[in-house]
Amino acid sequence: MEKILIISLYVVITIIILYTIRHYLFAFNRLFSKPRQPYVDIGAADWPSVTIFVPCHNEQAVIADMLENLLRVDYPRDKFLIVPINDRSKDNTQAILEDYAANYPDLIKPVHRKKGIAGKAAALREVSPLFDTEIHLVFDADYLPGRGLIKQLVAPFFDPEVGAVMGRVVPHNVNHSLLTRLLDLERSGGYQVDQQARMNLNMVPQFGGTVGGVRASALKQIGGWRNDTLAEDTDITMKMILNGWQVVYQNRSECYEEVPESWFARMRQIRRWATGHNQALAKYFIPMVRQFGKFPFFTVIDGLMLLGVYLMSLLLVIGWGLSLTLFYMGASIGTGILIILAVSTYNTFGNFATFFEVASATRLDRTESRILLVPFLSLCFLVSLLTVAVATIKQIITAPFDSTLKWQKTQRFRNGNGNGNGNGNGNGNGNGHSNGNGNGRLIEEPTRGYAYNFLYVNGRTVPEHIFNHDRL
Amino acid sequence: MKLLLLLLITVGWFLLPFIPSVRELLRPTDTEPLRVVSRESSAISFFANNFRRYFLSQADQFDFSTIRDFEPATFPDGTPFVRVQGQGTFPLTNNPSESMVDYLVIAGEDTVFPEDTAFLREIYGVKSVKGARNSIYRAILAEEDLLVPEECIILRWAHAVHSFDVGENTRLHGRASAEKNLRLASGVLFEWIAAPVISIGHVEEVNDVKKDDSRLTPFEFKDMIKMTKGGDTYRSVGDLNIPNRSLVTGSLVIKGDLDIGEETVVRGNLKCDGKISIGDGCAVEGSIVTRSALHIGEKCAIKGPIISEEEVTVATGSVIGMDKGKTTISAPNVYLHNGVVIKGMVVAQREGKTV
Repeated sequence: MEKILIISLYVVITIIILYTIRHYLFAFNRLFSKPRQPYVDIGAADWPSVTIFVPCHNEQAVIADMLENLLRVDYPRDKFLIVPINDRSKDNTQAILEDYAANYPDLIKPVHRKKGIAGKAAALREVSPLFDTEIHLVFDADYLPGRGLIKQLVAPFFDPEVGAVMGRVVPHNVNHSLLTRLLDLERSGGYQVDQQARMNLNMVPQFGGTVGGVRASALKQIGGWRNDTLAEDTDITMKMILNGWQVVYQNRSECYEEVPESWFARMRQIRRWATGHNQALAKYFIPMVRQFGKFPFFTVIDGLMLLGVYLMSLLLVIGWGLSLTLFYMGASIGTGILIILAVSTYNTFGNFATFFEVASATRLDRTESRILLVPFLSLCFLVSLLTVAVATIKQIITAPFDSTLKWQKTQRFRNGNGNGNGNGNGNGNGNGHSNGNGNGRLIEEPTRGYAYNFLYVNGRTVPEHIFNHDRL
Repeated sequence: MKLLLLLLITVGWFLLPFIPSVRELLRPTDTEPLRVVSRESSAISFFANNFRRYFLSQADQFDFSTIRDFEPATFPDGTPFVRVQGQGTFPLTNNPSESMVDYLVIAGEDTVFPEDTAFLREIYGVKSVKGARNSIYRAILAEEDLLVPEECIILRWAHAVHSFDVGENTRLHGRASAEKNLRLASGVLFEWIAAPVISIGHVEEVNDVKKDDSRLTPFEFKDMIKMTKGGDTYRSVGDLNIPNRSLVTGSLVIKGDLDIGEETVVRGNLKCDGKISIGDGCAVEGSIVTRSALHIGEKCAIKGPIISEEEVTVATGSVIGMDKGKTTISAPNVYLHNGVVIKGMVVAQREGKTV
């Protein structure tokens, strides 16, 4: 018995150390090498036709802002269509969408779903085949795309091997609470370091299902969106890779989102991610293993590790349990300095490798004081660990291959009440939106100059960003 | 007691990193959303338009009848400027031996700029601007034509509403753009150039090239895999050589090197992990993407964007882009030979040079 427990502990430690090495590899890659973004400078081209899908379910708090920003993007109007997919909203979402559609009949064509399977993946599966543009982009309803984002996300599709593109998600409601600030840090680590490092190292950047898109022909080839998964993004990523398509990440294609403002909403979000991701693990682990010898070795390894990422919480909990059990059993887990180091690594640095990624990301982002909050990430880490572990155990026990798990929508918090304003701003004009004006002298930054652009939030314009090459 | 002390020390040690965290939590200093990059800044005249807006906002508040030409003055925001036209003496910095003008310059028609001079602030050309050789300019906006002659340096950006001519061995840092034509002599170094028509050196009459298919041999996609059922994208694992005067109908994804013979026409896109060499007189109707170097031969016509992760060389007489479909060349190193025409923009992340 003791021997079995010791061997189990060693297996857990080995897997965690592999993930630790991976995290450090990614962080060092980002700190010491240039980001690979070959498509991002394409500014002039014969742009392909694009449909932008915006799945919505009770989005009255945020959908008007989203549409206002999409209406201002820089893309040829004759090649550009916005398709909000209203999935049985019970609030004012439908009225808002209809209002916009009436004002922009050539640009906005909402689809209202009244039946069928609920959820984003099912909505996309049902609606995307109705639109035969070359590129399909997807944004969640709480996102705030900047003017140039669509061109940036479309540019990689000039590469005929690219099947999916992912941009960077940047939290907009950072200053709301400790949670939003911690999620901001977590997103930074995940995108600025993890995703971009995978892109640099020719591994498997993950299509995140929002701020990104797919080539319609590639999507058709892999069977379209699956409606039996809670993580349609991971599903698409794996199917694209297994079918020879490339998934591209662009760190400079940034878009604001609203991160959960309550711990409950956060736990629900991460529970859904974990369950969906584990579904993908069950489906694609063996097919991915079969790619050894066909795909580059590290691409396959990274693909497998990506699939197993949400098992890590459970493994950690098991590891801690094993450690404690063996300690109280008085068992010797081995001798020698290497063993002690390995166990110490697992118990300390192994668990905190992602923190190093986050710290690296804050450096790359050239933010100042937010790095001071990194110790608080242990709070986020613990909540995620327990939530994911419980969700995974539940999934293993009750429904390891269940394809009918229920979609749970992330709650929106814009305006601070979790319900939104619901006014819709139907006409879409006269809102004072402007681009790059009235800000005094805009070219004196010692790097290359700076210039403001604007986003439309809560019925007013806000500064969106400052052009700054050095941060890239 | 010892145990309690040990416990306290342990807890204290554990909480030590939280001291700055708690301070930042209670007195937040960094809670703004990350500033994301503006894509609008890729517009040809982005900086020029911003500068124009700034200039006009200041000019609106200033009575120009109160100053004489070449006489230093100050805008309402404190920026020193000088209005000039024709010939005159520019006010220099306190150390005249340095030949530096530290004023924003409002240049009227026929302004004669001094040679061997550094202009530390922007120049606003009410109409055309003719720079002088061997000078350094921070930034220039010309509302009509702009000439930056040989051996000059542009530090930030330069934009002409009409045409923009750049003399030999001039360095263009940042953006150089025109809303009609941008003509570069040989030996010009650049980073980001954009115009409806960019021509290098002497260019013969340029038309959108149309190739006659009748004398071409259809290319057979032997040993290649179709990427999508019913699609026209083919994948090849090794190197690929396409014979002269072939007609390739479809897109290619090549894992090795790609060598395209002379006068071949590709009706599709090209993606290659290795080097791409395109023979003289070829036409590619789609995009070209390579993780390595790309050489485009003489008198080729490329319609789509060109992306290389190493180097792009375009030989004499080739035309990139079309009148109706502008395009982009993007690579760390870009070398453009005499007689090349680009309709759109060129981004050289490391070094761009006209040869």
